[in-house]
Amino acid sequence: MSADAWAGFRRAVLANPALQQELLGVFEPVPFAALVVERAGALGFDIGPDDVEHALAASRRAWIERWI
Amino acid sequence: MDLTAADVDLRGWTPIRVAWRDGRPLVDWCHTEGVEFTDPFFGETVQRCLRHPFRLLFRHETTIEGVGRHVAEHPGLPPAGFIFHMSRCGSTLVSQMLAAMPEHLVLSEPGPVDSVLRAREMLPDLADDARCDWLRWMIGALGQGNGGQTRLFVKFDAWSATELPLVRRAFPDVPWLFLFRDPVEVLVSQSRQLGAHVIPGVLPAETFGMSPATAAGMPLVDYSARVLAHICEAALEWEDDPLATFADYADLPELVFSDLVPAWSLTPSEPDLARMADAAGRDAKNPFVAFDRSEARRRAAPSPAVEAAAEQWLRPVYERLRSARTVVGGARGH
Repeated sequence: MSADAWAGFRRAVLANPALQQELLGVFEPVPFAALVVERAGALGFDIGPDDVEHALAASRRAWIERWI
Repeated sequence: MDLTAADVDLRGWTPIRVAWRDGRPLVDWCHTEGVEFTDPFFGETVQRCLRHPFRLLFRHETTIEGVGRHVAEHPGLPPAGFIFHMSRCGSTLVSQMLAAMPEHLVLSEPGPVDSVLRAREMLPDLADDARCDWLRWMIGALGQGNGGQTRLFVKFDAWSATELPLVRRAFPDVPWLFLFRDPVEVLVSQSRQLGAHVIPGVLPAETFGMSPATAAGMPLVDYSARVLAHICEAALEWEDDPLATFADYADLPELVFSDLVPAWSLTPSEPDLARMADAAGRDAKNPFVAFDRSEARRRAAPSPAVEAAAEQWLRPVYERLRSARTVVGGARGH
């Protein structure tokens, strides 16, 4: 996955309340990643399950490191 | 994260953090539609939100002016009361009692409010007019409510009492409470588990009227006591404010029912009063546990250093607060 693909998909999600609601409906990480991959692919963004996992880990790390 | 376009609808999103990048504040928004801010602290609710992968991954980021634009269209609930405190003195108990009324939104120590109050640490020349705007915008954005809520209460961080002039200027009509407690009890609690403000270096020593050099050479217990004394002094500067209530921990929870309810024009129903009483009977910071009021535990073995620091730095200001306090069921004590 390129950084551009992830950034593009993020923008697409943040501009699409219906897609947001769909993603909010899935809490468990594995099916959530599967849904992200599917929706990203449908929008033309090449994102795999590992990319989602890495993005989640990076977001968690960034949140924890906010005090540092 | 990219900056949100000006026309993005941020309804259902809440600022959870202010980050500084290239000398300017950027506001991190989390999707919180359907989330109740009922945890004892705002940060705990945010942590709960961020367990959801969507909320963790997809967050808006705006400028502080973006917050202002959002609030101009969606002003949020009117603040009905502010809580200031010296820490470890029942402020979470009071906020949980207020939160027991379903029409109340209570935000307990929201980080984004602290960030805007302390913005001068990053932008020393920031004018008070801008700081007032930022504070109003942030509280407006945080206080959107769930649709059924009608009143907003904010419990500030302990050190925010040093910013009372700005808060009173931004919200001149909002009544406020300052909570305090016997200094030995507060210092014993702080010595068991240090709050951020009493750890040297976490907040600028200047916030508490000390130079960094003075703070660095001081025993921890004295630093803690001087920080707490400065917070209390800052509140006492507003002793004559008719919108102020000064309350001693020893008078909780009765004072909430007898004095805060009328002073803040609250209108609890009988079921609300029962819920408030129930909240008062629980450990405010861990609502699954009953509140332990035992004197022995509160005053567990203060060390000689704690007793000395309490007497030297805090006892005089505590006595002045006692004089200024609201007496249960009555008027101010002086």
